[in-house]
Amino acid sequence: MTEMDEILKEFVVESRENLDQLERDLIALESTPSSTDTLGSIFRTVHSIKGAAGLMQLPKLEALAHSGESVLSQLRDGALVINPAIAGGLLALADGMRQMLLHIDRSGGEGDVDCTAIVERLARLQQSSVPGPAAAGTRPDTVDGTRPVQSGIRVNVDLLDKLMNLVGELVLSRNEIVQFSSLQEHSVLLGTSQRLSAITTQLQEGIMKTRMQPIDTVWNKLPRVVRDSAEFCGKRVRLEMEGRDTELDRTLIEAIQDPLTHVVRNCIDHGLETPEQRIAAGKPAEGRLLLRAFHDGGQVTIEVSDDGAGIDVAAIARKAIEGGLLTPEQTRLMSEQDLVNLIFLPGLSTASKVTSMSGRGVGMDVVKTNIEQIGGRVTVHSQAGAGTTLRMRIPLTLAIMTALVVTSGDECYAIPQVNVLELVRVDAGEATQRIERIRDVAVYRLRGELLPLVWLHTELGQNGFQRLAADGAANIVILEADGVKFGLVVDEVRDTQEIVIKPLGRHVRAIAMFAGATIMGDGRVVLILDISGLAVKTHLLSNVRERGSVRHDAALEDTIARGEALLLVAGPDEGQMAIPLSQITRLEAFDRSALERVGGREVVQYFGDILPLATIASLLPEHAPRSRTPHGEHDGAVHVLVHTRDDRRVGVIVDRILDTVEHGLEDLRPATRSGVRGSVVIQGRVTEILDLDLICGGLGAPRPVWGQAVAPPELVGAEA
Amino acid sequence: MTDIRERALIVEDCRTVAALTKLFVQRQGFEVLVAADGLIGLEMARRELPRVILTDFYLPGMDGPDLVRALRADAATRGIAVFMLTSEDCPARRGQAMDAGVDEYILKPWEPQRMAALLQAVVSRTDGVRA
Amino acid sequence: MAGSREYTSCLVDDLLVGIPVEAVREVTTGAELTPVPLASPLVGGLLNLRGEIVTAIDLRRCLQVGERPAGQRPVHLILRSDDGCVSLLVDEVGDVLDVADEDIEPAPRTLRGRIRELITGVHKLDGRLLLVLDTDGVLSFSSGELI
Repeated sequence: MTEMDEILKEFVVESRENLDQLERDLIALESTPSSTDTLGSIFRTVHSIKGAAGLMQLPKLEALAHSGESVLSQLRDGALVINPAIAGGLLALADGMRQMLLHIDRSGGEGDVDCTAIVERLARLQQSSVPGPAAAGTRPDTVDGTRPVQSGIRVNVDLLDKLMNLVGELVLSRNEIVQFSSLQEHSVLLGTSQRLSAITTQLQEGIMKTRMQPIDTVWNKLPRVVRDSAEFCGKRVRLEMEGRDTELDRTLIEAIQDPLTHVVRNCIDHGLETPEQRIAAGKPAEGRLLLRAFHDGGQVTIEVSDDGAGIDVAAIARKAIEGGLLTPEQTRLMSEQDLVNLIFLPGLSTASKVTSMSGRGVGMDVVKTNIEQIGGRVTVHSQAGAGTTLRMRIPLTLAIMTALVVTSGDECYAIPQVNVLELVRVDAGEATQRIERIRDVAVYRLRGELLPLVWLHTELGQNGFQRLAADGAANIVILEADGVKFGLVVDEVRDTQEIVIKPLGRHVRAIAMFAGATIMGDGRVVLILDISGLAVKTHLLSNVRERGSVRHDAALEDTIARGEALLLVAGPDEGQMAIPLSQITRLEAFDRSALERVGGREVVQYFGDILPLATIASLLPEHAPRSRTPHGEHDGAVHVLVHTRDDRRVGVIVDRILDTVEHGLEDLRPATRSGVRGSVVIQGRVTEILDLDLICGGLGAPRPVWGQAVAPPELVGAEA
Repeated sequence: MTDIRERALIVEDCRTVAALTKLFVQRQGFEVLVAADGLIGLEMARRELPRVILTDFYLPGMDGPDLVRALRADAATRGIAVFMLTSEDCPARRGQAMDAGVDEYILKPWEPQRMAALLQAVVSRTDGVRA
Repeated sequence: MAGSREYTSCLVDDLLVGIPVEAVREVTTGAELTPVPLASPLVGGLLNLRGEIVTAIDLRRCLQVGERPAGQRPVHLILRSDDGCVSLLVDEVGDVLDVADEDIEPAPRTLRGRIRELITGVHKLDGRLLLVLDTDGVLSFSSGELI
């Protein structure tokens, strides 16, 4: 690239920045028309572009800028006063210049871009001079105000990325060294590694700062978008922003630009009502669009709320039915929140004036995908008549945060320190008294405040019911997220560490419970809990004032009723059977040798208990068995489904576990034998749906005592 | 013996204009420094004592005419040749610039030959004092 | 050789599966897998690959050939994808095979169910069938969906 090419590139970049500033100033000028500072800034901007265009031998751009300058100097002299027509004309000027810059950027020249319309429009504006009060005493050539001095350097983006990665690796190595040295009791090593630690922390903070930009970088383009959309749609809108200096990594800034713009346009087009409608509804004629951004536990939350009419769920449902995406019965089964979430379905984007204005077919589904691609999540909440809030939560990539490490079962989990209020340990024996129950919900009284309790192992789908630690104590982490306080019961509390957050891959990122993952000092991968997600999942947090029942879906992204989760197993006579996962506490695999015979029945030792076992064949009385290997062995391990009912556990031996599927069970063919709910075709095969509650009625085991030691068993075999 | 190049200082806040001007002046054989702000320009002039300063009229920090007046008021920098570059040919402005004490008032875009000649003239002054 | 491609062969239970070599970044064993609760059963877990967190997809579960025998450690086939790397869990990795494009046939009718959906074709070797894996198909499912 020649020097001139580089300068041209730089010119385009600089001019675009100038135009951004110009637009901001113009919109500011509309609200404070007498601000000489703003006017001065606008004039200088256009003057700059004109000068540079002249030097770069871009006559059309120069002429454009010149026509703008003429209008501006009249404004400056007081011969003209700013009004919507003039502002519109100058904004059109900015658009024209952007178009020209785009052409220049792509082809290196002005080509045949035609700006005569804009030039004429500005010329007309000039002549419409309404004699305003002469700006007395002001020297037209005064340099009012100062453009902020930028002392900085430009650094190649790839280099910054490299540095970021290196620092991330450094943090991981540092963690390893610190872990190792803490075991060594070697004072010099300890001292040095502590210094290394401190230096690394500072370096990491410094590097992260280079990549962080305030969200205002994206937001400052929005006043223009809001103004144009409002005008186009005939609405009146006031834009408010909170948290403009919330910082995000620059790659995220780029990624949210488009989705955010689309969402804002959408709010104005669909969310907000016309002034007349609003007045009729008793609201002020001017609609309010609020943008909020804040940090929360390793994630950034960006909210866009409007005080409009809310999402019309009836209309969406209708559209979904018309489009063949849902049946009327399905929509009737869905909760209000599920119906609201339909806006994320592809194919449901309602054509709008605004999207035709922007010329691009962007739908909410694209917004959702874009956000998910950067590891974030989008949720929407709406209240009819009151408004809609769209919330985006994005993990800070390669962010480094402090986390509390806890365990559940065999694994460690990291909880962002920001969410942790305090730690409580309830000793063995006291647990039954201190943990109270209010209408089936376990709560803990913390200095007079009742906090709901959540058991981590339950939320992770692990076995057991309100399981306590190995020593019988209850380890409770008091957490807060989005204003909701609750206690999380974990097996153990380890320590606090500084961890590097790494985003999860596509196969696992949509799981609401996890915000990311990290690597511990010993090299192990540990999942980071998303406390907000946890609160939502356990229905502690509900942004929607829902009337009626809520569907118990783990992830809010599941928008379509999918039926029940079923475990497919090979049945006794080579048929296929399915058991609802909701009836299965846990899947276990025991070595053949672990099975014992007690009183004519097979049992196995299980968590300090005795688990009675039975094969499906023996539980179904009408079954006609063929001879086969005893106890359905496959690959040396005996697969058992643990079923719990009223605190009693039983184990059902299955020959082979085939798959987990989700399948609707509305159209079951009637059962032909007891213990079977019915049959349905799954994956091309007729499948009987078993009801474990019915068939296990005869089996039983002594109840476990509350507070009894529960340690993860040393079982041979893989867990499902 | 290495060729010691004469230094030129450009004071201009528009990056594109600064880059282009720098390119041109470099090709005339100068070593070029750039300041984007009048105050910084003054500071650099005092420190570097360039042979010639090319400054814009409008600047953040301290505008062109004020910068020139400050240069003339200081014995160390009084003798530096100053060219004021501007895109507006307006008598009032020209008058302001001349009053402040510029050596040349040049319109952008400048005529390359004329500019080259003016720069050469600066270099060939043997005593470094303005005529 | 024109019209032929190289495949990394691997064993998944007793199935011989082939994966185009360009897709394979590396092969590793011994990595500890962190289970991901609530994830699709096809997800075997997460592993640490020199500081990069990689999702492991269990090919045994994808192909529905039953669980790996207790105590047997899987081999990780690390694949490149534009979303970061993914590991495929297999039992063993074999030689790189050179197969002419014309020798690849569509899956025979006897191959049913999930396996059929995941392969792009088969190749008859001596007495064995090499199943060519649809790596894009395996990589592109996301949580909540099964292939």
